[in-house]
Amino acid sequence: MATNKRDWVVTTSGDRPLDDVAMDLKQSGFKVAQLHHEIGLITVEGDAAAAEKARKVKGVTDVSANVGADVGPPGST
Amino acid sequence: MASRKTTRTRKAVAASDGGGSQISSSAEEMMLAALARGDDSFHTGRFLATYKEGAFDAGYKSLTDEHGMRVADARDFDNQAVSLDTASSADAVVFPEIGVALIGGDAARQRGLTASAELATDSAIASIDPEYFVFHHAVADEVLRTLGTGSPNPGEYLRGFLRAAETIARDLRGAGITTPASDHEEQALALGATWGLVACKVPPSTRSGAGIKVAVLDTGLDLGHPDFAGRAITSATFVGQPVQDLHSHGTHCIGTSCGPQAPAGSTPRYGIAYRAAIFAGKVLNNSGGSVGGSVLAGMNWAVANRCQVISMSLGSQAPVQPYYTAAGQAALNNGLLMIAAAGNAAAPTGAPANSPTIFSVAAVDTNLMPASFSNFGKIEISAPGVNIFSSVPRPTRYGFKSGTSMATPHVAGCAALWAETAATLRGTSLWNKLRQTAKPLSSPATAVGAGLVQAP
Repeated sequence: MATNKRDWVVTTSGDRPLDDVAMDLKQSGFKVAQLHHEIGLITVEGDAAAAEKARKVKGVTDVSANVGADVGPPGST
Repeated sequence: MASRKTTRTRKAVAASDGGGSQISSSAEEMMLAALARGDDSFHTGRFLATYKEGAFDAGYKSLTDEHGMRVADARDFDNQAVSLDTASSADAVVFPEIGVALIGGDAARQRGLTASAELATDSAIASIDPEYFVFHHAVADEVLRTLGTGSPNPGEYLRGFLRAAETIARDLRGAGITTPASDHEEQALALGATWGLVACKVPPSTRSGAGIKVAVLDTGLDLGHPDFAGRAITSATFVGQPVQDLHSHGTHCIGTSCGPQAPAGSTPRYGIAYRAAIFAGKVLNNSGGSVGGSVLAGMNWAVANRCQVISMSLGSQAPVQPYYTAAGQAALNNGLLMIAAAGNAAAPTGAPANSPTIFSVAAVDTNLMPASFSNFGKIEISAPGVNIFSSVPRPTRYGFKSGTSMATPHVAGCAALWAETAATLRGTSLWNKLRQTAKPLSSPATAVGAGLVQAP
């Protein structure tokens, strides 16, 4: 079955070291991209099933798809 | 998309050839290289060898056997649709259908195969010409219009490069950059400062942003712009491209928030925190979009550097994102303030500005009315965002833009001035101060928040 991998952002509670949370995220099936220690976030890549598992990891408060950003829509640069 | 090759007199340019002109170099890389070497000729840095009729095979063979080049053959690509970015190891690419070889700048120079080469009469090569940038008709027309003359000054050609790049980027994303409004320009000249700065009471302020670190997370900065010479600038990129701004959005935003007190010549003042330390984080690429987690990486960097003011003229029409809220809270916990553009969709405030921990900025016009495009709903404050004059990358140097993107650096600059007034004005207290001191406006708070940002 084909998987739909995408970028996710994991928000943490700060109760656990980010490296420890990242290890658990790998166990959930995520590929860890970056750890943002100052803001307590981890960017990962994976599918929805991994996200569901990651939501149960201790120290994780949210797992959301990365919505990205740009300079703004037409006519308003 | 139709295109044409801009007609130029051939000239020997071997001496001006340099980096960024490999077979796999992107147009942006070649434009950067052209800027770096001061090349005003439209030359990409690569060369085109045209073979004599019937001599293509011999010419191809000479590239490999005589000159020792690694050669990619268009016939090896599907439908001969060559993708140059995948030919990174090649010194040259041959196009048998038209009897031409494209040779990388370094490879050509090392082997004397430049436009100045004297070709032997028995050579398979008929001529070697510089490769020039090719622009869409509308772009070429705009270049000439920008130059304002039918016989442009060669020294002005780089203006065409960047103008063209800007126009191409605009074409690609379907966006329109507000054209210069002469009435606003005249007004600014008369006032000695832009209408935005005047409306925010910046010129009479005695504050400069000294001792305050302002991070601008955007498309980067023209690091060689003369208006920023001598300034404390820390920069980082999170998108895999140099910080050098080939979009212009970032340079414009940094200009408003941190530009000089007195630009050279008759240029009006357009910058607010002219002594603030600039932290230019490139989180948007030269097309104006984020790459993976680049925005979050930039936020993390700005917080790690303890930038008291973090300005983000970026976003998307998305609901509140918990991760942006967490990032904003981390900033506040460290006495820092994240400021973000509400968005330009004439719709509810987008992310990240819609997060409760991030200071959201709406745009107003010269009548201090909400701009037609400005988002609404969760708005903390408003600022000038229509026909805003500020810096753009060389050689153009200055230009007008509109958007909540332009309003945001007005708030960031004023925030830096306020932060300078008291060490206690940080994070949440700075948030409150900006709102308490805003000039009340007649429009509802959902459109303009507490009102128009004011300098101390």
